[in-house]
Amino acid sequence: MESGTTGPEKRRTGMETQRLDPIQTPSLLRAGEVLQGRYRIERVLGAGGMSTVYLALDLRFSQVRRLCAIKEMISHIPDPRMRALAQQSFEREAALLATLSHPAIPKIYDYFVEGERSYLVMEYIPGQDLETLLRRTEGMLPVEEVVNWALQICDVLHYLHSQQPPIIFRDLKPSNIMVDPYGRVFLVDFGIAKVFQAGQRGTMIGTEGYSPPEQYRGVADPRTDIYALGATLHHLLTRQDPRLEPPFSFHERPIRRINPAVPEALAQVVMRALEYDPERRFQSALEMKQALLAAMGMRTPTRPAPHREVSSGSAPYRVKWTFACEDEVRSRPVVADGIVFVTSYDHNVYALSAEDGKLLWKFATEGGIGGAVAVASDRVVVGSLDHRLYALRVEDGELLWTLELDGPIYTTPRITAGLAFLGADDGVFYAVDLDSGRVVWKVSLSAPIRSSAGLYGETLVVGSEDGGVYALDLQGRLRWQFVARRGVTASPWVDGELVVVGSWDWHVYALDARTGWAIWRFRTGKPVLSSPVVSEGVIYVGSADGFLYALNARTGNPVWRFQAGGQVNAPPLVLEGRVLVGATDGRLYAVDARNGNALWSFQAGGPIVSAPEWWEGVLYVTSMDYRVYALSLGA
Amino acid sequence: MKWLKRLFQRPETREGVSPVPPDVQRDVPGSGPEAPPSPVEEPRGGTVPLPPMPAQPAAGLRFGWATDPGLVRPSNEDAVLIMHIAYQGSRELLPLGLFLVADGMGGHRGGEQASDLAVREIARYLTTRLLVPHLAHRGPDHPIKELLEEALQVANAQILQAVPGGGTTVVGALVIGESVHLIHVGDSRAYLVWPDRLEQLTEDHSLVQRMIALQGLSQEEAAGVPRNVLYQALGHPSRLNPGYRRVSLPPDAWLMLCTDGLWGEVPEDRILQIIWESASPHEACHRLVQEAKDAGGHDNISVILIGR
Repeated sequence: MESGTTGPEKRRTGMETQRLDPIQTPSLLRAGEVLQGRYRIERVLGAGGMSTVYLALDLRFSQVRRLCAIKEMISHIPDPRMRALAQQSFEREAALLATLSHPAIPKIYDYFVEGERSYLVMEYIPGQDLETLLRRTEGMLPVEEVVNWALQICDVLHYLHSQQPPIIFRDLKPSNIMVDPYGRVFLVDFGIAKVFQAGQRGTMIGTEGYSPPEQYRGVADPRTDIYALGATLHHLLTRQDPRLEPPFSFHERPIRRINPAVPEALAQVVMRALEYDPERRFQSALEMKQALLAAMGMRTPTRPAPHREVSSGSAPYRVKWTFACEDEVRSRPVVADGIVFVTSYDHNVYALSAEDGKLLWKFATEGGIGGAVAVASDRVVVGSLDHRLYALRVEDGELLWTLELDGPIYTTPRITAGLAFLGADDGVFYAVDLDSGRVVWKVSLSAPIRSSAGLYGETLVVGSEDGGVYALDLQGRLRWQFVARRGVTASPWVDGELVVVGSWDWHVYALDARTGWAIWRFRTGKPVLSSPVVSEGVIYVGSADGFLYALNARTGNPVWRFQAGGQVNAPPLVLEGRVLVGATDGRLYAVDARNGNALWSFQAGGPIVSAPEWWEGVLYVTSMDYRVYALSLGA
Repeated sequence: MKWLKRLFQRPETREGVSPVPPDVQRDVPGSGPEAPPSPVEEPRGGTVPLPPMPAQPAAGLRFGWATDPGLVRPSNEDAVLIMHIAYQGSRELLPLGLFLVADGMGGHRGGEQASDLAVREIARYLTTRLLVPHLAHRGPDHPIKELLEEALQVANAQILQAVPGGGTTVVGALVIGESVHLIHVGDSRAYLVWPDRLEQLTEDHSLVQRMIALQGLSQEEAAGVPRNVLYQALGHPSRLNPGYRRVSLPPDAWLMLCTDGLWGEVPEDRILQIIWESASPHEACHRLVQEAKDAGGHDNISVILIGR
């Protein structure tokens, strides 16, 4: 049982903790009231958790208008023990400030007690705190200005941390940083609030937002302030209030994605300050200052982030052979029994020896071929843009039968139970007997079909160019239908629970396999033409926006994304912890399936728009440069 | 035993399938006139028969629930709401259940108002967007995850407006057939109760859970971290990002929703033992509440058990 969760009362605090609770509100000093016969109260500057700050006029300097800030300790705390603690803390703050001398720390002029109240007289800083500044302005703050403040804060933190013993500010955040009209920064509120938060009971909603994890365990060292400075800079540069986000989630909000005006080097400095592990942060304020200076010195005009450099030097592959067709290859190579079947826009079906790439046979159709072959024991079945479906003998490419359909065929047949299932541009989905080449049944869908059917058990799922997604049983009966907003060209993934489809409407949809109800959708930045692949609860799918995405199948949340150098319209292949995917920049990327880190890449001569095939240690890749590549993967 | 046969018969084997509802027909126009003859039944647009849904027990879901103020708190700030569609008739209609538990917080009755608003607003929203279409044999017009998130957003807006100073956790399960869609904010939890273990399905939106998740905090380290800080709840101005998760409800397990008045008070092995000892989910829920009270009953206690 956790004691904290069973306090006597649940309270809602967090954002509201800064405001005065009515029970603790004392009577405020009125304007014109004079303290110590010397300080005339002008107005309230602000109210903190346990104190009020007034603007006052120092009457002793009668010739000039000398202003000061007077912080009043509120003693109206019902609990005497808490009141004593507050008093001690206040005196400590006064004593501490009195010993410090730094341009960014307000000077202390006086300390006195009047009746139940204690007062600290300080240098008045004309200006506003950064939280107020954020609230009163719109649009992103100028980067140079933020960096200027950051450098000054590094200086003052360095000063504090260099004291013996080191002083840890502990509560750095925009509301504790004042900026005067000359851009000078001051730290205010030396940690009076901290004492009281330990006394909170019941459940609270909302976190500090700027504090590092170790501080919640009561640990604080100079790196605590480094983190808080990073959090403050993140807030200033992005305008995303960390108190409204999950704690320690800065890395989920990359600065440059929100504010592209921030140079990459600066963003990196901020993110390093925000490392969860203190060992990985800057170890001192001075070190952070140097990094900030360096980052701004290296500043270059904003440009899109370069995609991660992929080292090919250590590429664990060797090109075993290549084979050139006479036109583009847009379909996946298919390997069966040592034969690689390749189809090309040059009208041909090629059968190549997997061993050396030698041509075993080829068969010419009367149109280009956009889909791959399907292999069924002794025969391969393939559709052509000449409207025909062909069955060829595996052994020698001998034509067994043809079937003429009403439109060109761009899809790859799906084979099960002695039937080939495929859709064509005539908008009809066919079941064809593999032996006879006769149509067993067909279903007219509403638009051309460019999507190869997905199959699981006795369920076929196919998309059409008007966005329809249809689940059919093997007898051609419609189980359910789903409609995306634009066409579905990619092949659906189907398993016992889920159907996953990509659409021209930029989304990846997860549908309930039993009902066809949409469970969730994930929006990418461009059409999704890549057929999704699901492996161990993770969906891998590319988008024309140039990313390969890994999505959690149970939640629909992204796990990671990898940026390729071109559109990712090819389906991925998941292979032993790696995801292999081609892009229109002609590269085949190997990415770590766990974290999306690039492992290696292979450069083909033209865009890669289909999945690679894996067979006995060799990867077969087709490209629009007319070629087929056989890559032996090393250990 | 005809009734028994009917109960366990796979729907696929039934004769005389039901006609296609109009909205399914609409987007399946007829095949072209030149379509060659085909040896077997050739479904044509507009007449494509919709076969029955895959096998489902015709009955609805089994469930029980209980809620109690406990022994220390003056009132019960938890709220529980259950909606259930069980159906037996000539067509297939998947059983559908909506189960909600909320744990309110905030003085001046803010807690109970917030949890009450939360469960009612969520149920109201989902009734319109999901239950009504379901009764008309239609799927929802938006992905389920988005509907659940929107339901929480609507409830959140209501609470922010009507109950200033009040907040609430919520955990909800939308059960459709054997699919379970979970949504939650805060530290009320969902578990799968297996014969031999509890599997926690939700991750608390609490500071300590976040630190454990991010760095695998040791028990010793976690002990120093305040346990009572939530970073997300309904009624708080923070950006709402509810936890969503889909699971299947296995026939040999219970789905349990509960507030921290149960999970913070009763050890997991006791929860497990009580559930599997009880004759019904109803009995189990009441015994769980009693167990939490026996352990001190420091907080309000609410629990729902759901099975197929």
